[in-house]
Amino acid sequence: MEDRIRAQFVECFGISADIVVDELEYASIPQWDSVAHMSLIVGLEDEFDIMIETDDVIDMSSFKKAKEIVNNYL
Amino acid sequence: MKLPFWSSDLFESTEGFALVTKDVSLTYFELNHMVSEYAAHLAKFDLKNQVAFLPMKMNIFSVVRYLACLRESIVPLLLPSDLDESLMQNLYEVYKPALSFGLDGLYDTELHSMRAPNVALPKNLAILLNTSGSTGSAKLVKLSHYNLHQNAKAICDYLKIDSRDKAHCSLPLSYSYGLSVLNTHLQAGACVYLSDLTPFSENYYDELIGENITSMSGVPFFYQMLFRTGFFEKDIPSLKVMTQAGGKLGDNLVRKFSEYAGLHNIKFFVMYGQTEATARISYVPPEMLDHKIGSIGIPIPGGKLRLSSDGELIYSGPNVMMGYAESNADLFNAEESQIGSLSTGDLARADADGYYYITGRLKRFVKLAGSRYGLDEIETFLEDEFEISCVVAGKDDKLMIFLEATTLVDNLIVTKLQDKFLINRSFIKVLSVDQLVRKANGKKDYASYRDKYSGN
Repeated sequence: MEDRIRAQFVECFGISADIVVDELEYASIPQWDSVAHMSLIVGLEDEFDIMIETDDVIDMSSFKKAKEIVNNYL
Repeated sequence: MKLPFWSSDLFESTEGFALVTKDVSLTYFELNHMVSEYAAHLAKFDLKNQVAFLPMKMNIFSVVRYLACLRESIVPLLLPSDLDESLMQNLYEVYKPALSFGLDGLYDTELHSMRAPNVALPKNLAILLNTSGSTGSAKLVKLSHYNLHQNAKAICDYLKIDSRDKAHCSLPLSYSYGLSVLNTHLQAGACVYLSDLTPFSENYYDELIGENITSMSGVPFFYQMLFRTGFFEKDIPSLKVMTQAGGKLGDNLVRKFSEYAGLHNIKFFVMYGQTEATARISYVPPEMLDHKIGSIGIPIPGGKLRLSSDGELIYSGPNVMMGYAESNADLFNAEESQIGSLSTGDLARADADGYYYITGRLKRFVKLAGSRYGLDEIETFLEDEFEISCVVAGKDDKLMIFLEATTLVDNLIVTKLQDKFLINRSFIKVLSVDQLVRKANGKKDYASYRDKYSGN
């Protein structure tokens, strides 16, 4: 699962997989801006066939959080 | 309202807070003091009617510098603070500013000895804005003091901004819409809260509620973010006004926000404008919104709209720019000041009540998340960078790149555009074609791409 989530980060932000670590946070790199965040949410929803709820859209503020949140839907 | 929003006399007669950030709150008295002191500092450089480059961050310093320039008749080009360095360099070479403001504190300034040889710009030239901020376009819009003052007054009039208002501004101040939020609230003696947060930030809603925000403004993407973060389940008791401009918000979301606004006693303004008209051209009165979904509304006070014989929307009013500049020499053209009438480049129709609807676009640009991108600039850049032939076309929130017979990898192009112009990759689509559509004379046939991919 982690690899599938990481792949979405790589795809949506256009960054290399090795910088997608737990500590990677929203707005900490220029590529993870609000537009990219939106496409990440949509990308994860498509990849896992889930509907991410509004609170989780804001809570998904790091790679670590993203894994926790997606896991809750599976 | 007779005095313009930058004038010291207006500040002196205004009570209460002018600018607030998460770190600092400044009253009109305090801000006036800072601006006066800074203007006196600038006066020593003897820069009247000369160009200065001013990157605009969401902070007090940027606003102090901007207002001091207006008072001292220094002509700032307002730039995004994250503009790519080589794009900045290109602008330097074209406009040879006398001064550039740095990002390390208020007094970080650099005087240039290579300033343009011509002495003084026309006295009524107040500021310069890029037609396309993120690509650092060398095509600039020239705005006069009169333009700024008149548009601020007209907007205050229809939005009914008063001194009790406190606007949450998260739009860049180098962008005409963001700048208009600042200008109008200063004009009305109201307060502006400058914020770096987006609806995706953890403390965003706490900030709105905690600061007793009365109005918020955003482009369509901002409203999509609000929607995705559960705005409709939230209650911001102080909120009275929401404004939307910078592109067309989908009809469904307009309906949803209109309904929410009705239930919470908020006025929701759908608006239309262009940098060429300082900022604002038209708006839909909130009480008419449910009947006029999809419309850009009626002209702002003091403005007029009409259609040309081929259906192009023409605006006239006191906020229409002095003209464009594409070279340093263009800055000196005084004779075209106050051209008064603007061909918007948008195709439109009007209904029986005089409400206008945009039906297409003639000009070669797209809006991505509310920011304007010149298609020709991106095309030229790609052709130079990769030595290819391509056509860059598209519609709002979709940039289409047609490549002619090349082995170039799509991802390379997408990454380059992201790095250079900060275009999010989700907006970009690269398509390989055997041959680009050309006219009989061999020139690229943009109209055929426009008809296929543009429109709303």
